[in-house]
Amino acid sequence: MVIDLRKCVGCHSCAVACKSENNVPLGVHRSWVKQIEKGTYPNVAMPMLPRLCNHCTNPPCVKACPTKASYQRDDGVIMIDTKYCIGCKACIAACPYDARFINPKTMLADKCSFCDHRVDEGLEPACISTCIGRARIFGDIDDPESEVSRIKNTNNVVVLKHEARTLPNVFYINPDSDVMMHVTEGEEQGGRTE
Amino acid sequence: MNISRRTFLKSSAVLGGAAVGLPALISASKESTPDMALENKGLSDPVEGKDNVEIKYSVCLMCHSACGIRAKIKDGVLIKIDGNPYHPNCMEPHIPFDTDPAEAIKYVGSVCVKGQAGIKEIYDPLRIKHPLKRAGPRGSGKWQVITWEQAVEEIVEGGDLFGEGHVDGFRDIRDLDTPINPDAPELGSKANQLCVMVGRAEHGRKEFTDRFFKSAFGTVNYRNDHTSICETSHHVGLDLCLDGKHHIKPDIINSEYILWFGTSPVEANFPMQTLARKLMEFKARGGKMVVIDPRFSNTAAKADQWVPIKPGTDAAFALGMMRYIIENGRYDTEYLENTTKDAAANDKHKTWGDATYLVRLDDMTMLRADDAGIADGTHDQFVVINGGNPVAFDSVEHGDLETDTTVNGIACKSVFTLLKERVNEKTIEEYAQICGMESEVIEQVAYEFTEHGRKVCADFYRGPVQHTNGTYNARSIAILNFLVGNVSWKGGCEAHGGSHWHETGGKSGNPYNLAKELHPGKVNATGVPIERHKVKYEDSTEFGKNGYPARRPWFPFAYNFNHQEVIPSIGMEYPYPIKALVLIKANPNYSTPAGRIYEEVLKDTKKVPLLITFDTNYGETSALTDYILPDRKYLERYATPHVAPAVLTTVSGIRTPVVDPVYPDTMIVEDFLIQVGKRMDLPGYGDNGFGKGDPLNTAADWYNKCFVNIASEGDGVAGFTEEERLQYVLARGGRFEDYEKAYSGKYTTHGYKKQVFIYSEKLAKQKDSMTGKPYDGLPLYQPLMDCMGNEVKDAGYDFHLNTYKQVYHCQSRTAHNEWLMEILPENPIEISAADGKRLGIRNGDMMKVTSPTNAEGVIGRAQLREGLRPGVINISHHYGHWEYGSKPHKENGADTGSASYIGKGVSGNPVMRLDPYLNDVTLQDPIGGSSSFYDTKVKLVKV
Amino acid sequence: MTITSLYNIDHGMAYGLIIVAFPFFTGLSAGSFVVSTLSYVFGQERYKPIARTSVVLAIILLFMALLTLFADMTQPANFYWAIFRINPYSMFSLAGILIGLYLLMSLIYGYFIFNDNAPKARIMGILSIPVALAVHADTGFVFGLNYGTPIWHTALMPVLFVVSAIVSGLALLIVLTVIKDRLFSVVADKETVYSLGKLLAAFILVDLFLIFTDLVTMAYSGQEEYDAMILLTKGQFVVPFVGIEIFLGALIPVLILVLAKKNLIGHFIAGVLVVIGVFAMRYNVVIAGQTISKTGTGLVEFTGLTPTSFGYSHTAEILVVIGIFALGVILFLASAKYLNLDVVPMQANEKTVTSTESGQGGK
Repeated sequence: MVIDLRKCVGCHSCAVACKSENNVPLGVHRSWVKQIEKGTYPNVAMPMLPRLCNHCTNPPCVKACPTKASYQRDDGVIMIDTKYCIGCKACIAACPYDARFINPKTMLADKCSFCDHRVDEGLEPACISTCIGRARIFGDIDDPESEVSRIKNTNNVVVLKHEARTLPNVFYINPDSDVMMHVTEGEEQGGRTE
Repeated sequence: MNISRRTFLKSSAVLGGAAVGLPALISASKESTPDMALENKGLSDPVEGKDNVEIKYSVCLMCHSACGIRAKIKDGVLIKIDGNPYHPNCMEPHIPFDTDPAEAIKYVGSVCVKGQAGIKEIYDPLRIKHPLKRAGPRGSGKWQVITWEQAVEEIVEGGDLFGEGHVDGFRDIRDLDTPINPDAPELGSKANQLCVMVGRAEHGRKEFTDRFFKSAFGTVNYRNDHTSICETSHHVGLDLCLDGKHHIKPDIINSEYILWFGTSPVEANFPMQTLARKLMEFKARGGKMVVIDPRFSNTAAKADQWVPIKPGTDAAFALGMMRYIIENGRYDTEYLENTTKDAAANDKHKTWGDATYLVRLDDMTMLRADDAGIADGTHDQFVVINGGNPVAFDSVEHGDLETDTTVNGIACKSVFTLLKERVNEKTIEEYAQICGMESEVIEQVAYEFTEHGRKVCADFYRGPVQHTNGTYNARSIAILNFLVGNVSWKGGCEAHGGSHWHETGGKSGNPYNLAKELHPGKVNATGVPIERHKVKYEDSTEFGKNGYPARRPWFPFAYNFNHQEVIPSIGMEYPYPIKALVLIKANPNYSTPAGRIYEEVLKDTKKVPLLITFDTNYGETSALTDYILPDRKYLERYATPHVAPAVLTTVSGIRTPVVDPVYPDTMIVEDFLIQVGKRMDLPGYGDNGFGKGDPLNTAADWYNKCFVNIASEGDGVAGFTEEERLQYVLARGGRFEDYEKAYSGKYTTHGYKKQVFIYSEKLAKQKDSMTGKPYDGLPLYQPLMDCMGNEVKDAGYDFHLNTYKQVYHCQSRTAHNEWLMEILPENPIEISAADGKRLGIRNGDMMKVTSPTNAEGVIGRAQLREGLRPGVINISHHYGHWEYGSKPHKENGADTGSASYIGKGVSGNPVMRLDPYLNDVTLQDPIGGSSSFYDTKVKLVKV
Repeated sequence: MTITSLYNIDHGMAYGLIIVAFPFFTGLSAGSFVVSTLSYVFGQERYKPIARTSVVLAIILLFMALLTLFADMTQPANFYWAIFRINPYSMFSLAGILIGLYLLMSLIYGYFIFNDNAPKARIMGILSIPVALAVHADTGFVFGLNYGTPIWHTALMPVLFVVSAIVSGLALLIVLTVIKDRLFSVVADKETVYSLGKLLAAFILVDLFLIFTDLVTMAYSGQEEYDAMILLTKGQFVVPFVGIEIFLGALIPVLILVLAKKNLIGHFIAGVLVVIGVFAMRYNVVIAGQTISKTGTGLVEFTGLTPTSFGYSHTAEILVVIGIFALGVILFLASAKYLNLDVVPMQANEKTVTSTESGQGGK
């Protein structure tokens, strides 16, 4: 998946579409949009960052799972075989992106599945088809002819925590460095001021 | 995942099952409309498969953008909403209209965050599930569940309904022959004492309720809808610039440079998702946009430039721009010199202006050819100077732009000269000072605005107009477009859009003219509306007696009603007392600036003897009424919504129920009114409602004809019979013109093709009902004023209260939606970081906001923002409900339940300033009738 | 320039107080076990009087640790998959195996001790020590191998865990010995306690050095590590970290142990403080570690808990920990009543001497 942040308007449609499509309970999110405000009046920016599971090629969650309930599909999608999940939260702790959570209804580990049930039927994930700014492009990143590959290969794309060597498969075009990483807020702790 | 989905279905089903209490006693729409149901023509959902899954098209109503939706229903439960790919709001380009629905299933359109959350609306457990009658004093929160039959009977017949004495019912009130006040016959008949307030009237329903209240019941107070608390001065201002059109939008896709004054089209405006999509495409192509707004909105975040203007000074900014444009000769002389349509056509323009027309300086009206002494000149002809001589405007192609002359002894100047003099009244520095910025900003924006030919647009929405100077702001901004001659050009300013087909008929191909032939016995409602819109004070008996000022203002230009004046006027019984107030999907107490004070009037059973509301939840206003009649939610009913001119192709969406009513003892407003109409024998209802043998017994009878009209207009859609055409549009969720029809050559196909007005003679000829002074026909900057024309300063109140709409909420009506409230559970009071630092305010501090007319104030949590003009504080709308399910009511003695998340946050409306002269209504724009949302000065105190 | 978070989702902390208790218990267990082997394996005969107590403690504490794991799972009924579907890359998976193995081995070891079978106990002890340490080192890895959590992600984590395990084990034994001495009239071998005290002081100093190197490295690392260092030394964890873990739980006990070399009560106080300090260390690792938001701006509040078998609330967590602790105390008292923990030095005096001799002879 490529997310062109120049086109993200911060509307949260993806987040609610995901809730609806995947019946995600209140309080937890498979998909959301991080938004910060930075700068000093009147030179201000409000970078957005749609967030979801990165479906890493080198997934720490899969490594951490004591029962191999978390696994990588042949097409690279990271899935959870919930019948083996013991709810130990090792995968949640292992994910450097906070993409995983315990679903309070099922009490199982949960996260974005790239809408596997839709993708398997030839549809796009729910967040893609409802993105009102058309910021999201989904497809087979291994196919060099696909639109997603073409856009990924011809733009300055960045992944979250590149240094974590997780090899994410969610690529961002034109992200802001301060929204990409953890930063200390405001003046609470000295912050990243001036 | 499958497990969780089934769980959801089960819980929803339980919810539905729990709702079955009293049976629906009057036939609900559903039973009587087998022909209207969209047949599931074997459409299979790729994900859910065929079993028990239905796909139905309808139209969203989570805001008023009217995006098409495709609903997925499994085992009778709505499980997902997607965008309708046929609908131009949802896709770019939208799929061709003749695409087979089985093929269309492969395409998915978008809907926004609110649209996605629509499911939560119908399954909301806090909905009102049965008709209710108050069982205590108004506002006691005690209700008695009644039958629909009892509701019809009591509302029609009246009587001692509450043990508090006799109350007139509809039958008593409908006296079309007796004047309310024999001394002032212009006020109309006693039937006008039935007053209706619609929150937001939707097409289809609007025409229906108008038919009922105006053309059958016969009251002039038939709608009084919300527009004046929305952006009516935007419409009125544009209406005074354009001939009969009142909504502009840039042709975003082909534009190069767009100015957004006081609007955030990627969050609000409409259709929001369409504007956002087109704007992001526009940006990707290198388009430049500037957002002029004290708040750093999401749109400002995507813009190339943010101009944090001082609230309410938009006209000064526009006048400064005009001064720069005129001084530097950066206007389109060729366009402005054209005098007529033919002249414009020769220059390849679709529109022409009035810049060369002469205005007489004695009374500021247009000089007419007969008064100018032009041979054979008539009073219908304007005069221009051509070759040094005054001539009739239509005898030449061009006139002189700058003229200061005397014609036939009358001192005259051209409109352009007057405009030039107006903009030169202040220097750009002075304008910039008013706007609170450097003059370079105005100059630079004016320069860039005139660097892109006609591929520019200066647009605005609510921000500049919900001020006391709203109409002038609107006109000032709109005229920027006329100076560059961009109207109806591809990439320019679009003043018409694709528009819609006509649901009530009257156009070629429409089989049913619902407002004329098909309304036998129609009556003509006459008289002065309670809030005096579209009527002149000078025509009243009162004016003859008292002269200026009137007791309350009159609004001759506010053609869209004046929502905020209705209840205060009822309270003052001015110009006459009323007997019944009917609210439909309206919540003025919460939604109107300072609306909370309406409570006093509404609780007064002498001022409002009968108070009825159609609502889905316990709204702040509904909670104070006599009867709450539970309406159905949009996914359970019908409509024919139109879209805004951002869409350049013709669109008529068709809303049909996608699920059976979740709470069966609710009723569509239309069905209820039909029952009332039948009981009262009103003209146009019952077995012969549409004429002999043509019944209007259910809402479906009405919408069936509306939909057929849409399907048949012009060439009609494919299909030999009405039924085939109907099914054709139902299977696609409406009728949609194909994408490539948007443009014809260098122009938009459906663009505005008439005159544009820099000068408004109508304004110049009309005096204000309070001050007795004429309005100004030119663009103008005015400071904040009360209804007596006195400047309101409020010294000591250092902060300017601003409000805005969150992208994930809609007006007052989404606070119960869990998915939307989850995003931001509590809205903050946004304070500029600089002000916060100065005053020692930290994030999360509890702050009280008080105003000169509300010392009690409202309390919320501070959030410091860099993206906010210092001196301005921001409180978004939608939050801070004091009813709406945030506290329980009692129905037949039993608790209705409540949800704690609903009342969270803070609403700015209660602290908004009252007019210091009237003291019972917010400040208002005397021309457009807009209520002032952005003019209140407040104090900020730590709690 | 200021950065304000307008919107983000933090899914809260994966681990709460129950998982604070887990390494606390495994640490105490491993520490007790190592102490019990001092006499049987390393021939430090003066530690023999406490060998039985410490092995029983090690087993009970391990059982408690296992209980915390189960209590924290949301699907404890599925636990068998952890046995049938071992994932060698998963430290959690290994933890299960190691704990199981360690439990088994320490039971056998304990059996030999109670049967006074010193040679077999010695062999079993030698075999078990690495497992006991591995359990705790693996617990360190369970945290240390998570890239996204700055306080956890350090090569020192397993070492820190092992050292602090020994520290806490020593401290616990001092405490228990003194308690038995004072409350149950089991006369303690004061010299044993004092030598345990010396050992404890030494390990505390090692622990402090490790913490110091860790903090310094954090201060010179990336933003998140730096923020974590600030969080511990100046931010909201300054009391549990600097106050309790460093001063109360390490520096003051070292001071007491050095100044009051021959004071039983002083040793008792020092021991109690060290146990509290080690608990604070577990708290600081687990909770402060998760306080630095992985992707957000600012800090995660210790409120949005991920559920456990017992739901979401802090109250439930605290009750579970207290419950497990109470169960541990009951088990210990029961074992003290039925297993004659202190009889060894008195009843088997001869054998003790013999084995001492042989032990000395071994030298």
